[in-house]
Amino acid sequence: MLGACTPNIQPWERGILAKPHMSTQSNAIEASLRQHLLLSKEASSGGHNAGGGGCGCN
Amino acid sequence: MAAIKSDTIKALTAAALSLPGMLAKAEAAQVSTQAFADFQYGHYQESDDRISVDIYQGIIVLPVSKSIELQSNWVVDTFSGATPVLTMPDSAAESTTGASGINGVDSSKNVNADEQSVQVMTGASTRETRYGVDLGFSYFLDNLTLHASGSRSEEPDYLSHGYHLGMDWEFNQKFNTISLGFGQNFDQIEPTTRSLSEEKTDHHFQLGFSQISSKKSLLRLSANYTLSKGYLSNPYKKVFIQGLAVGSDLQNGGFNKVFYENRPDKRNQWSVSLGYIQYFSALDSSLHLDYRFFTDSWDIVSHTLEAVYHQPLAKGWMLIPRLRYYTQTDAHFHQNYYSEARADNHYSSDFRLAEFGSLGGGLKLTKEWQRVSSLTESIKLEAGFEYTAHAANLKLGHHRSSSVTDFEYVLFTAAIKIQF
Repeated sequence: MLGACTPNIQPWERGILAKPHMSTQSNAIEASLRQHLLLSKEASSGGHNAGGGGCGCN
Repeated sequence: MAAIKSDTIKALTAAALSLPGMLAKAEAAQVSTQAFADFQYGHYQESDDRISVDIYQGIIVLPVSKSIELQSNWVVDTFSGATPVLTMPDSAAESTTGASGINGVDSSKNVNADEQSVQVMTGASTRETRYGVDLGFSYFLDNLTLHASGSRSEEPDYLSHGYHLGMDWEFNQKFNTISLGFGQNFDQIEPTTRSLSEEKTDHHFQLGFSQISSKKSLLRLSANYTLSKGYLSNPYKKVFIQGLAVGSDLQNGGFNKVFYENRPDKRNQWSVSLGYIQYFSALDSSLHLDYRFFTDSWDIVSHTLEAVYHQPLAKGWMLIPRLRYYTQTDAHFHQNYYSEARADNHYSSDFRLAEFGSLGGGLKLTKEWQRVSSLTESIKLEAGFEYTAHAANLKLGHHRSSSVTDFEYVLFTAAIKIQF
């Protein structure tokens, strides 16, 4: 089953995926600011980097 | 020549990072191999002299051995300005005086269900400050990373303590990552204007999956569940209720027919997020696309769409435009005002529980310098600006809310990021 999830990429061909602007968490400090502001303006929460961190978001 | 050398080193570093057993930044189980310190200032300003916030943040990450990394995050928010405290039928407001609120309620006036509403603001508040800190560590094994962190957030009327535990497991030659997370928050609420002491507890669960789908693209999927229990109302928000029986549990809010809001004491929240990152060789650029579906036990359903494009320019400059659209339905007990009492005794006119949409966009410019001193690997400066419109008529599909709670906001950010 995992074979279907394994693209034909050699280890030395992962250079593009290692570029900073391909990172899934390229800007943690900005994500944290955005998450906090939106929590205080909208009724929704969650996302790829949700969880943790105490905030007085009321 | 120096630029060519720098690019070659970058390419070789990227290739080395991608070898099996080494650390690949592209994968969800992100491992920092270097110490870094990021500092950011943000200024948030709402339209019409509503709230403004100054946000100072810092993140310091310090590897202390080959397998252990320490992280510390701190934030100081200072906010001031007027915030909405009540919406009520315009016909029953005896006198509104802009940001200073109403002078009285015409108690003889019998209001109907669909009247024009007016929003009442608090007076301009004194400045209040929140201090938050989050300390954590990560422990790296070959294909497994374990995380633990604890947090504290304090402001004059709100104290929160929390912890988070997580793990990332890379498998299938690191083409895939599965992430699990669990955390709890314990909050104490003591409003400065009321004699009230309440508690709230949150339980968070997370499940994530990421997949390298090609040499130039990544996919990820996340699911979140949060259970909140305890005092889930906002202690400052009030509601206008006509016909509430004498002897109700609701505390009077200073005027006839005006009470402090009362939300259910339990809330289940679920969300699913789907993300996709694509690289474009011709421009050396990348596009990050994200969609989130959210729903909760208060009948709120929301959709969020976000696109962020990264365009590297010459000499370490990068341009990052972004767009975001958000739409939500209202909580089942939310109304701008209540022309009759509810059987479940739940009331809130908080604009955050109303139906609305928001549309925002922004631009960020960054500049990175490599090896500017013997101590630093790189230094990056960032500056960004964003504008967002928050309006009832931006909601997807049919909407019935009035535009009384519409507003706009801007956000400026500036950051310095140092890698050692």
